[in-house]
Amino acid sequence: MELTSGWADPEPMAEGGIAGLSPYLQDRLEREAIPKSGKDALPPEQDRLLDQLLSAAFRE
Amino acid sequence: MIGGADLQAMTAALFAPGLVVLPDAVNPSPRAIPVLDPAHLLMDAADLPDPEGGCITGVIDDAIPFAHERFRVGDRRSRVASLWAMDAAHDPAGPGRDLPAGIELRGARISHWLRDLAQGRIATEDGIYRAAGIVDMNRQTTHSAAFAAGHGAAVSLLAAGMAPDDPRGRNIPLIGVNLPPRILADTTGTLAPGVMIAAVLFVLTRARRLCRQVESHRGLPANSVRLPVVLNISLGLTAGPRDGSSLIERFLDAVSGHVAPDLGPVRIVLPSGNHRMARLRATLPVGRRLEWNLPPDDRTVTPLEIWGPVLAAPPASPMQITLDGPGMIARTTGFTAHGQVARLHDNRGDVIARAYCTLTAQVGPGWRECVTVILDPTCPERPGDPWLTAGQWGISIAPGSSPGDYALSLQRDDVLRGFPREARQSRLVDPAYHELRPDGFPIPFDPVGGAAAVQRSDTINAYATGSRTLRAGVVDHQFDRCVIYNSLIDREIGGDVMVRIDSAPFDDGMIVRGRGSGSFAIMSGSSLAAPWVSRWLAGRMAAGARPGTRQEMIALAMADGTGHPPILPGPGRPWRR
Repeated sequence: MELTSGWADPEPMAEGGIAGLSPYLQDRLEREAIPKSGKDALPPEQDRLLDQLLSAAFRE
Repeated sequence: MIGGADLQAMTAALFAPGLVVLPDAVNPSPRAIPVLDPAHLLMDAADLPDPEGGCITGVIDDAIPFAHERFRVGDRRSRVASLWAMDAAHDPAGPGRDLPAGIELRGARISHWLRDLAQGRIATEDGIYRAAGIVDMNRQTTHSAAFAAGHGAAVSLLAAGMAPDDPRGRNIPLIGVNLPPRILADTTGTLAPGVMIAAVLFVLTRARRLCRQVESHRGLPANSVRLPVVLNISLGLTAGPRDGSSLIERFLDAVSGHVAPDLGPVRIVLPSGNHRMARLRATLPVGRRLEWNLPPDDRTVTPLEIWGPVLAAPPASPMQITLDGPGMIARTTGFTAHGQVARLHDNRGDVIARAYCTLTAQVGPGWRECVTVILDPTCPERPGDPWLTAGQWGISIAPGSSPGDYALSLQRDDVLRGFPREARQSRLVDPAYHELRPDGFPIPFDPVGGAAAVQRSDTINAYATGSRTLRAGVVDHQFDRCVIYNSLIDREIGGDVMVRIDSAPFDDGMIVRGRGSGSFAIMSGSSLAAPWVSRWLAGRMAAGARPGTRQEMIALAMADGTGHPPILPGPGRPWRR
């Protein structure tokens, strides 16, 4: 069977929450029709997320 | 979630318990727990390590056999300080009330079970695993904790197993994490980074609490006990940026470089990987087409990452990729900005492939573009599901993209032993790539100046390209040469430190311990080299060594081993198999 369609116009990826972690995760959420943001969003900027993670790891 | 309340939301988002564990494992209301809880001691007082001569070993893996005799002092005292079983039915009364899912087992409780075992109140070691909730055949999951010889048993016992009468054992307590079977079964690592970060946070939090318990027991000042930690993570990915910029790599580097006021240095050991010859890695300039073989009957998605050259500034327009395949002429994406997803539809309008275009800042200056292409299975899971035709597909970087070399890496997408998954591995195909010499022996390294796009070089574990983690590779006992499957750093380096695992180049495997005390199996791979390196490093740090960087750890190994990269002494070669 010949495929006649092509790539559709791109759309923005989801940001923040667990959806913001990786394309793999976004892909799985879309395939399984799971809402694209976790209840508690992660900082979208990786430097800030790392700072928070490191601070949390070494603080009680 | 783990430790203080302000970490709660972040860890919940990272862990995503609803996706990675069964519903009965989810903790509906995680909350902070006391640093020292007399009802849930990490270890009995008599089993605590020496504050001056101890080193905590952390292991993040699968189904760690915490009741094994090699994790005991004598027959009834556990050397396991804490174990987080992420996918066990949650116990709201247990010590792990701060965790997003699963249960925490602490050493004092494990020692109680071991006493019951010694006195006949529990009949077998297996009875302990069932009593603890680690093995529960009523749960619909892969029961890897019941495997006779699983990955986690081999790895954890290589890293920290010691004879019950070995006096060194008491000073090498174990803090472990059993990852959920869903994480291990998915070799593409879809959810793994967040879960692994949560696991590292757990090991660090409990390590610090163990130090506090030692202080409390000995009446020492607060934060005066700072035991070092060696953390073994015998896991990996075959696709990624391989420049240290991924979230998990940056986190591991940050942890390794952090000087904590209440914990000793944390050193992390990873395997080099086992996919040098798997044809999962290639380098393409703009415009060159590479074939991509999709096997039939693959019921899982097939991901490919394409990382662009390092750019001084974000490009004015994003990179584009062109895909062709059986029955489909070449189609080029039309990204207009980074942070977009493009979908490829079949004639019915169903999505059969997605491409995600991202832009990532380097750890140093610069930027890299990436397109992650995720193809549908070549065998539908259910009647009516969309699917791709198996066969020879083609991929290229479209003209107009930034000039330079683009690094392609296929994500591993096959099946781990024991984990049911209807997956088959795709491969990159280049007629110029030759795996074997004319005499039938494998070609170990890429020929200098060769024309093939498919490569053996730079196939190192994609979790292991940060700047501070230590990478462990495999040599064989016969020739002390890096084995053929061992992934490579750059062109010819098999690891920072090497371990003798396989008997000979064509006789792979070593004897490892199984789940039950006294059982054994034969396994192979760099997953086993990493825990041997961890074991060595923990012994050296318990004796006072404090290597601060990767180079200092390598120098320490060179003092104890032979060659360059250094080959550590042991493990022993079996005289007969």
